[in-house]
Amino acid sequence: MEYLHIMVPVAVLIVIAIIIILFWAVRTGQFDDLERQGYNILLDDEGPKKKPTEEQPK
Amino acid sequence: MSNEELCFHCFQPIPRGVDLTTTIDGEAQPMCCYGCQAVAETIVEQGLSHFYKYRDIDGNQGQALIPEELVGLDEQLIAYDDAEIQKEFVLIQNDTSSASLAVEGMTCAACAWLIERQLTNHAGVEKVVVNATTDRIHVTWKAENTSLSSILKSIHRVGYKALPFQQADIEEQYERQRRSYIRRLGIAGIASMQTMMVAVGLYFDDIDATTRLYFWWVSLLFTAPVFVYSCQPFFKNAWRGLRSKSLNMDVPVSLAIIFAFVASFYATLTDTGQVYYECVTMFAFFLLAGRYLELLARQKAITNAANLMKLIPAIAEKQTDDGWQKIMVKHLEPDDVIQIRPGETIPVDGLLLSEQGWCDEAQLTGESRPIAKCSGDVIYAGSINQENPIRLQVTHTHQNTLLASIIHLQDDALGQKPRVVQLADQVSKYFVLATLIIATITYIGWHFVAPEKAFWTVLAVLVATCPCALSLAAPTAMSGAVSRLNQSGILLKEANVLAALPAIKTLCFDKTGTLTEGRFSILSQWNQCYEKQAENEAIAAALEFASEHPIAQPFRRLAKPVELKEVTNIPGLGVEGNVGHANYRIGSLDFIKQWHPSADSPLAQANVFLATPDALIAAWRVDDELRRDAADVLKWCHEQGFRTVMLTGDSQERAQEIAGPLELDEIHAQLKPQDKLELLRGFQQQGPVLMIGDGINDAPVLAQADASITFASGSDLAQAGSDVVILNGELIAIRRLFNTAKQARRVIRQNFAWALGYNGIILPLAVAGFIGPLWAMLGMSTSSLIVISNSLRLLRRQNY
Repeated sequence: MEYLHIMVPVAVLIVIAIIIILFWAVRTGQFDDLERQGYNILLDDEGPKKKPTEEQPK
Repeated sequence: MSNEELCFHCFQPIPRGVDLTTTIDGEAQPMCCYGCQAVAETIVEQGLSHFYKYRDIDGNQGQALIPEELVGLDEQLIAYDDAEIQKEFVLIQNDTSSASLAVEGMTCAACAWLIERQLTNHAGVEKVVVNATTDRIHVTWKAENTSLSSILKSIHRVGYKALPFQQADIEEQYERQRRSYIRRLGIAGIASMQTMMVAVGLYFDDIDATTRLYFWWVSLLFTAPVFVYSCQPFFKNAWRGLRSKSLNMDVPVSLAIIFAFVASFYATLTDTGQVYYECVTMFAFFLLAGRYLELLARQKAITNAANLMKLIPAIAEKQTDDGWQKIMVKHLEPDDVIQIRPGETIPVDGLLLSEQGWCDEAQLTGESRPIAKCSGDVIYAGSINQENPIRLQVTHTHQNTLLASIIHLQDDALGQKPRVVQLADQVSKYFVLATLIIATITYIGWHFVAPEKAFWTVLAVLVATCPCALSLAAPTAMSGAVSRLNQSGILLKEANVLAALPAIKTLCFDKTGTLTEGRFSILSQWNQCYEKQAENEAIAAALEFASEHPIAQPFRRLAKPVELKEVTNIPGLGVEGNVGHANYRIGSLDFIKQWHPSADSPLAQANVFLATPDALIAAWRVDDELRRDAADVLKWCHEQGFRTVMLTGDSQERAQEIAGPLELDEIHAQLKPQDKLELLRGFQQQGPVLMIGDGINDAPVLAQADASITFASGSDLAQAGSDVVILNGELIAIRRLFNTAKQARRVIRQNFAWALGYNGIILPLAVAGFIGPLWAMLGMSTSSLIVISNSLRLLRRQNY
């Protein structure tokens, strides 16, 4: 059972990291448009790259 | 016009004689006009041609972006008392003022009731209408007795944030709410995975005491953020409900969460009893998911409603000593002189100073033909200038225009709109009360039988009967239906409309722009020599390119124009020009009569004529055309047994012309917005009414009807007042809407039957103490999953 005492705190750290990433993603608007962004991979595939659209303020 | 081929870019039929193509991905695609060709070529040049591959044809009506107006929102509330600022959103009539406010944090009808109560008691407030679906307050007050800032403070005191409505304002509030829900949902989701993982370990009996306690502490670590952060919305709503002395679904939810957490926490501290951390986290996750779905549907509504703001152009050209100067429309004063270019919407009511002008008032009155205006005539805000720049003398500034009065008629109607009683709200109100009573009785009963088990049994009762499946039953089915309708180009602004539709008895149609296309097309034609038809069309197209009149539009698409010289446009009459050496005139009969005084119309109801100095050579009847699918839709309506009514502002004769072949049950013509509203209220006495319209003059009836549908091409005001916006311009969407609504109702009923049936079985077992909180939680989750899966069936695309 010794390994649990190491692995569980590691899991806790990973969860904290995930939550920090989640909050960052929400703050920078990663969830703002879940449909349109999916098409970017198709539309940007060929041809010259367009400048990325302006970041949401804040 | 019989050409089968459609423009690859805009899907409009291609005019005869036009042979334009653009090479897209190696294939020559047909184009209807030079405009489309230029656009398509630019797209290809930029290497963006896969736009055509992936574009959504059903809902291709792109939402125009509105630049946010920069408004300092951090001003103190006192700033809202400033007369200059109030001018933007406050309407003053006699000695009372009224304004619309946006409220943050309103989640249910009880909240609306609370605010309404609070403000009714506020001295100086005359009238309050709180709309829980749009989260807006319309308040009327006496300026001498109270100030707007004190009203705002008063709302603040009951726990809501209310601010005068600005377009970007409420959208931002929704955005904030949505983001906070994602955060709460994310934490609850991650924590529930962790606690469930730990819980699996705890299920084994051979676990030693130290490890068990260690696991308990780990679970506590994961559950604490869920309890403190993710569950906040439930606690807040429950508290608000209790303070307004009403029970909402959040009361038992909060009780169950608090009990389960506190008991587990106590068990962990003292190392005795049982823990139920995984119940808390899973529970929070499921409930938040339901709330999030609901929020998304409502946010979509707001985005559409906000379009209202672009109705009145903000800038006008005012005559000053230094020539024409651009100023803010809100700074216009009566007696200012302004200039309006062709195609622009008129910002304020005023008197025409120019000699003559043509105004399209279809949006305001339903009259489908442009109105000739002479010097001194009144021009209304919201109508569109058709030809030549005109000058106006301002008579009413924008809060007091005819347009503004229609907007207020609409706001009033919205307040009186019959409320769809949601089955879920009705059921859950009694359900919550019953649960709380049963839980109390269970506790008292067990207290006498086995006091040590009383607490855990009550917890099991609360968790097992949690209205989780109940609260998911309607929102999941609704969002499934809404999302499928969206895919087929039908945008629901109000998910409630699906609940209202199956009860509808009467269908009211507007004429211009609803049953008809709302724009001119050529209905019939006459040619002196039949062989010369193509030639005549080419000449007509060329001549009409010189005219800005809307009646000229269909001719430009008729054929490829020929070369033209010495063109003169005579506003109000027609166009004259030379093709080769021959002289031609196109225009009204009066214009032709200048050449041929004895000319007579060779075609019934013809209104455009082409002539040479020698003879009248062609005539056309140009009018508003019936929608392609109008006849099919009306046939379907009659099959379904609906009563069909036409409400139009246009003349009786023209209404009859359109309604005759469609066999509408009733026709009411020459109606003002107020008349339409009164007629519709009359119909509502006999049963729920669906209104379909698109003009500004339809806006109040659309708001008043039990359910309303408009088109994306319609006025912004109509869109603001409607529950449903049809994006692809197909009237037949009505049928799909009704079918989906019926299907959604069926699914909701199935869900309710399941949720209530499950609770009926589990409750006696939980009360008797046969079910521990853990099994109660598992049962509750399974029940919720079944409800969600059932609702997801609605997402499947079906063909009607």
